[in-house]
Amino acid sequence: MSKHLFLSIFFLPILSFTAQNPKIDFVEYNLKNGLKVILHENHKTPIVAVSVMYHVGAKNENPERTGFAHFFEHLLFEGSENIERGEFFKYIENAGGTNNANTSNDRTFYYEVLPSNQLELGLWLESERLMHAKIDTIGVETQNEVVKEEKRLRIDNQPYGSFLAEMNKRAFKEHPYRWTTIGKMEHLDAATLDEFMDFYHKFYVPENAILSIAGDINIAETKKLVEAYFGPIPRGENKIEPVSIIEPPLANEIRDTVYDNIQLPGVMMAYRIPEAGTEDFYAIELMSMILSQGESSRLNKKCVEKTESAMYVGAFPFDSEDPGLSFVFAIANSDVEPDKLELEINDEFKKIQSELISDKEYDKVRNMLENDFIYNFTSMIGIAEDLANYEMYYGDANLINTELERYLKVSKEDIQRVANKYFVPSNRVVLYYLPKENG
Amino acid sequence: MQNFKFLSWVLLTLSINFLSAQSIDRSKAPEPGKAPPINLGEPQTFQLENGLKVFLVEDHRLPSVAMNLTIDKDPHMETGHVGLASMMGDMMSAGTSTRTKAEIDEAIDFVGASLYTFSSGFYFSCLTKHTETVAEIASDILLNPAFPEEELEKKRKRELSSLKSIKTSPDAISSRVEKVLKYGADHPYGQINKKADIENISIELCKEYYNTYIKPNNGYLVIVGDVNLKSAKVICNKYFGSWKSGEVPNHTFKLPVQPKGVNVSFVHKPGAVQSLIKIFYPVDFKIGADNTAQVNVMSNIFGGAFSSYLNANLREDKGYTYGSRGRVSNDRFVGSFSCSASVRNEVTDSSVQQMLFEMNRIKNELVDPSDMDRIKNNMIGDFALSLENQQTIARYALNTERYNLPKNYYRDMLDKVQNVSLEMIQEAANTFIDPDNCHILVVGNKDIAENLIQFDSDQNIDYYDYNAEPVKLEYKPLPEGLTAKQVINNYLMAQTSKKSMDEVKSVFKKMKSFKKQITAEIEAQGQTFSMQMNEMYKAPSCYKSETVAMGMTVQSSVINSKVGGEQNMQTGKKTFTEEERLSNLNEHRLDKDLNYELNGEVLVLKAIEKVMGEDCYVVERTTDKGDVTTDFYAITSSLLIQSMKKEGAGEGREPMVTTMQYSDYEDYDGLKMPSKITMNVGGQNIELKVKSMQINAKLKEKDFVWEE
Repeated sequence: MSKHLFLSIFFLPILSFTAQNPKIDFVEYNLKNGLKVILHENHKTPIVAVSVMYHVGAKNENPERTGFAHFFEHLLFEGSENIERGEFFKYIENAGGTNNANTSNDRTFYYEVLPSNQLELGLWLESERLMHAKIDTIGVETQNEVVKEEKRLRIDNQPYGSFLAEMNKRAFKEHPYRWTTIGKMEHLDAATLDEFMDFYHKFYVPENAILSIAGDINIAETKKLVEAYFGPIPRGENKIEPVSIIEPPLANEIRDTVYDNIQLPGVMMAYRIPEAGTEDFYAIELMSMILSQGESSRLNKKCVEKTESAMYVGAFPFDSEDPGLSFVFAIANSDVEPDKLELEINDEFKKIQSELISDKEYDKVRNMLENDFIYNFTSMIGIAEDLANYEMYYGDANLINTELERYLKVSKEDIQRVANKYFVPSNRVVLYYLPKENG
Repeated sequence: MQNFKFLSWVLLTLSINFLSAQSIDRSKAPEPGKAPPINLGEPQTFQLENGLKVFLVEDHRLPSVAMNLTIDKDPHMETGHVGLASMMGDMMSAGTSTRTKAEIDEAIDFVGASLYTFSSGFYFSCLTKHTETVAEIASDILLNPAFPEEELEKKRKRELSSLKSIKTSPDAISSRVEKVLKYGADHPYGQINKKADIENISIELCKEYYNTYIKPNNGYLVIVGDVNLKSAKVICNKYFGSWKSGEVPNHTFKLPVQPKGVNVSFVHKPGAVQSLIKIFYPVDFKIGADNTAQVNVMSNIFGGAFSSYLNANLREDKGYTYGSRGRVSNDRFVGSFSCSASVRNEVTDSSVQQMLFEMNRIKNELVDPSDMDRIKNNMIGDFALSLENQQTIARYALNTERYNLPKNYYRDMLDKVQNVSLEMIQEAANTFIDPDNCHILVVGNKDIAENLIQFDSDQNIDYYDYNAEPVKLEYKPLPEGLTAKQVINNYLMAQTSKKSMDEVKSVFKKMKSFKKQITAEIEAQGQTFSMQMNEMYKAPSCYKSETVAMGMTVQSSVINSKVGGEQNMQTGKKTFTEEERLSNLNEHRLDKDLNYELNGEVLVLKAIEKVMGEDCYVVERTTDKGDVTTDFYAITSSLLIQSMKKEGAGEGREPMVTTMQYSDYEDYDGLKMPSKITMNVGGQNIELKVKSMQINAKLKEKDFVWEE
């Protein structure tokens, strides 16, 4: 100890740090056809992220044709009038880029990250996808098989993989959040080519999309190119009705047991919560961080460290455009009964409902938020996606710079209030996952 | 950032024209603009007096700092406590002489930082303003870990639970079994932790590990972020300057051997709806090898890219899988080839077929020049993209230092990739792609396992559990009424070519003695040497054996009607107890198979299973000591073709498994005996050949003298 003391006296801290809290500058405008464009210029690395976010997700599906939105995420790599089947990926590889896509309940997101001299290639590929993608029997049949393998890989063959599907169908009876993005395979099998074409023409239209570009670009030149590639794409002919179904309250707790190919029991909960962007949602996020972000979080300290009932426990709200769910996911340690684990989790919720969190916890969670926000700005594709998300859900891309303030506005009392308002038994589904007797 | 080297990075030498809005031609892909230069930054470096090398990549875009400590050490065996290193790493952050684990967690979380410790160091990241706070905790963890007992118990409990859950994860099962098959259980990379290992890890072992390996002179501290050189030096000296250097042991290992022929292995996962297929083997491909560029281009064409041979075939053409990938990867000590796909059950064999087809294709056919160009562009582009993350620059610098690479290794790699030719790709494929000598491992439902026999060189599938322990799968129902005793009787009748047990008994009665000579070639420590074993037996109570290798008697045992004992080079001389004398004698009698029940063994006919391509009756024998032997009698010949013995199982202890395979039965004076025996113990194979076997040899009681 004395050695340490000596050293710290000897080297007085003389650190000088130069970086400022970052601000993301961007330009935002609409094309005549309704396409929203967001551009962020950043020359630190000679790369560019080109992305398009479509405001279509699983919740826009026909209940008899679930899985369509996600299926398009596969289908729309099959080619276009000017891109042969199988060539989409090759153009990107050839340019030294990477690409991918993902689908949620609310939106579908496609992107490429390219060396910045390949910006135009990214614009060409994305505009081809939007303008006249190729949708034919070969593509549908092949991708149908691939999607089935994706479902087996990620859901059927994974322990607890059916978790979301089992929760959603119990937590929602009316709203499309009752099914999952991967959908039902029977629905995809039954779909005709015309149905796929109709879905494409309805949702893949410029007024339903945001083109978000971040990286080593020149704004003026990029605007010209965007106009050249996306300007000629016509508006859609069909009106897109927003989902208006309002799910009635749960009224009573739902409890059930799922038998799965697992070894350790799981205790899963889903509480019904409001949509992302609301004051209550921000408060719920803070509450969840106190419960389960970091080793010193309440649930971890209690169930993993102290009683050792759980191998893992986490509480996390899903941000969704319509009112959604906040989950608790806990895996029991070997030889621990799930009801013991559940009682411990319930106790922690009761505690946060009956007592205000301490000042120290409050400061901790705010420090965590500050840190988390900085890390959102580390990559161009991360910035492009955040800008598009904020614009699509809240109509305000500048939330990328200001959303932190909304979190910091949440008070200790707000946290206690939302804990009492939403995290009550009558507002939740509880599932026990138990091992199947003979696999 | 000062020391930048500017690289001129030219993807394609094309001129640039910004097109006016109206003149685009959508029918073809636009030409790229002028390639931007890429800046491969070079970190600043300095060294502390205790030998710790520090790399700093300044990046002031965001107010955050990350530090990563890597302590270099040779891979080493952890026999009996596999997983110790990783547990020790985890335990470093579980308490120090002045802080409990809860206090550490609280302090780290409070400033919104993350901190992880590993067997080879730590990683943390935090906002710039908290750098000193977190560095001080990292220093405390590194220099003063307390290794509290109760924290180890918690981690042990969690590890045991997690081991249990591995059984249900195809990826976890597959990677465990792959390690053992690929590198062998006697190589550090082939070690997997089992229940007993986790139970054996102790505080003493953690401390010993810490004291042996956690030294600054083998360490590299990489700092990336919002810190300048002056501050970095201050922080490093302040927090890591007092860390004491010391000697660290070196370890060397021989290269694991690629299998001869194709070896199919299978792990049954109940309820599997997909098969996880992997094809793999070790290769001699080290970091910094001269052929790195050409191997990487080949590897990416074969299985690295989305448009690779594997993925284009299995996903985009056939729709068998969500994705198939494969690569030849390098390593400091031993490289490997591995490719994989998760496919629906019914196309498992077709998928293996296609994977092998693509392995052959890249060897036999020159790749298409457009494929080659695309992959090269992709690799160069990836390099440029990867520089978005400053950690990449730090990693390249660290590797250059650690692996002793030429100064401009990574920068020059771009040129080397550009210069790879079609022929060089084929050469790389012929060096490293070997569909005729590989492991094929499938984790899936056992119902589809037999379809895979066609790929195995010996027409034999090896079945394992998630611990890579051999298991037997039940195939066919047993005939009604058949007992274990009848199976053994059939074997004895086949052995003596008699039709009844009375005749069998009289044959054995007439066999009063034997003399047997067995030879074996053994590979150990890179050398092959031969071994000879002589056995003598005289009814009713004398037995003697002697094993000679390199002119020395390495083992011998003698039993006569009164005493007996054994002697070997490791444990010395030991006289048998009366019980040991009798059990040893019984084990070596010619008619021992007649007397299992007399000796108190419990026999159970378990199943019909396939061994070495033959359907066998499986008989399990359990001694009163609890040792279990499983015998496999071929149904067609009635002969014993395999025997697996598990000994010494106990509380928290894995049993030692010895597998003997018997083949090439020959007639020795009226008794059919195997002339070839393959013994497998601890993952090592020893092949024994019977050189001579003489029944009713002239032997006297005085040939069996035991001197205490």
